[in-house]
Amino acid sequence: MIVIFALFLALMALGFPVAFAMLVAALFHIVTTTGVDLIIVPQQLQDGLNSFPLLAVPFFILTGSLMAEAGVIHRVASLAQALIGHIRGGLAHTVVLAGTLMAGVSGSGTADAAALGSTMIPALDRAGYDRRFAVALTACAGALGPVIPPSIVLIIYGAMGNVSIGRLFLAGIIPGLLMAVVLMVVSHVLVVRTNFGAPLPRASPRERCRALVHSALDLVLPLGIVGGIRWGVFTPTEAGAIATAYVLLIGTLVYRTLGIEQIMKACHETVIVLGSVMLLIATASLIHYILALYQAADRVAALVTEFSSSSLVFLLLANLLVLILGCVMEVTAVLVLLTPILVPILPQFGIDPVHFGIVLCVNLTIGLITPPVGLAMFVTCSIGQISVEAFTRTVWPFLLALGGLLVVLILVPDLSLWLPHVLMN
Amino acid sequence: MLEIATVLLLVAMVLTTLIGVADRFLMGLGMPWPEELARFLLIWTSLLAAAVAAKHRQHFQLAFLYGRLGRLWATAVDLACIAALGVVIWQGIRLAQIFHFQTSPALGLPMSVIYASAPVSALLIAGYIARDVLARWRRGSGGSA
Repeated sequence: MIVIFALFLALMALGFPVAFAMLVAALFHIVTTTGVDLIIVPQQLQDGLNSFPLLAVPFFILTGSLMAEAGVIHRVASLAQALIGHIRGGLAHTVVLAGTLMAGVSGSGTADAAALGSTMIPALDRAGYDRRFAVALTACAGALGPVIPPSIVLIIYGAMGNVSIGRLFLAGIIPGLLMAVVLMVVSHVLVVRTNFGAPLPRASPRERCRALVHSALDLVLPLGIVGGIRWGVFTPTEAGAIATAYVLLIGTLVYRTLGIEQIMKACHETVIVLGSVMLLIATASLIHYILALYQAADRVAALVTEFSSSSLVFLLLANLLVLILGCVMEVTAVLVLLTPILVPILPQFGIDPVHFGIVLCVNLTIGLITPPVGLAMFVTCSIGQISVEAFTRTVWPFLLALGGLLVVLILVPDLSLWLPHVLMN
Repeated sequence: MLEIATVLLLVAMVLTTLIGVADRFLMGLGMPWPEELARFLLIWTSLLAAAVAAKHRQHFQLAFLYGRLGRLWATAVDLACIAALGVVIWQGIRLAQIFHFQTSPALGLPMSVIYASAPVSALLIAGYIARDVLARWRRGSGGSA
């Protein structure tokens, strides 16, 4: 079991793409040690994908890409600006609020960061904000995406760990909003200290109403998704298909910002993202099939209990592991690798898998904006034309604050569990 | 071609799931096939999309290593990947043959139709990797590819 992990890490370091590192490590292990029929290789690859909950992944990726092409960000950003643009550092807070609203309509942090970055970095630039600050802030605001429902990370966690996706979605709301508050506080402090970011003129009630009406059809979507799943109208997978159809309808018929060209571009992007994510899920199922032969989850549990049986110690250790892996590996790769190992041992420590899912998600989100492999970081750095080094020097107050929030979320499970408990029991 | 096929499957997946929803709310037939078909479409779509991602070299890789590998080294990695995919193709064909006469519960499709996705996808991915290897050697010197 250790061998397979060591081999996987070594292959990755040698330059294999992550999914192939898993495949080759698994093959090597089967041939040299396990001795099961190799026919399980294609079988497990397909079995890992044969899941109705997982269908929500392509749907929400597609919805997110269509949203980005349809220019939802423009409507959402003007709404955010009309609401809070007039306070100090207004445009910076606008970015965070727009990121929060975007997170509610799309499921992917990287896509959100890209959409936010391409519209808000130039706007912040014109308003006299420091460029590095602008890039760091948009990357962080985009990273709210995976925590606030709908969330592709939570769907994969729920599907692979057999956890209710509806509950996970509800549980993500409060932590996601807390993240937004934390980002706003940090940017307020930075704005005051560096003395940029004059407030924008206050929008009149009429302008606010107009902005709200204009983006009303976008804002209905997250409410409909969460509400529909909560009241059992549809499953998360069906919600994804409905969301796709809804975005297509309002984009082509109401707002008329989606043409054939935009739709084709969105489909193309979806297919590429989908291919890399799903291949990871498929190869991870193969790895987990082999690990299950060795009762890996039990062994890990035994190893940890030998050290300490406290749930807090387990949570801290698990998060440390995720944080370290998240720094060198792609978010999805860490997720598909750890979920099936860690979720089965949660009951032994009395940890609610929904709580763990949210903590894991927030933790992985931090990985999105941390060098050297943070995808949201790369996207916004290339949009804002700054180096990763400059980004790292600017982003640390945000990272520190989000890290602090992560610790709070670990210590206070009710922040995640209260909402699903009240609404679903 | 491959992209268009994948996008069509993606669209079919959305429609199938919507048919399932419509059935429950409007017709109430409780048809079992949309759910099964959607899952099978997911397998095919995912694996074909994986081939599209391979075509564009979009599979996640450690970023700080990408492009720093020597030509020989990169080729060795690619050949190892092709060899692993060879196993998937070979065993995938075996799997499809064995289950050819088993049919799926709701649709009655031969399972070989579903199991064919792994060898087809592996063959395409191997093809794209081989294309990269050839391109790298044709370009001659220069370490990164």
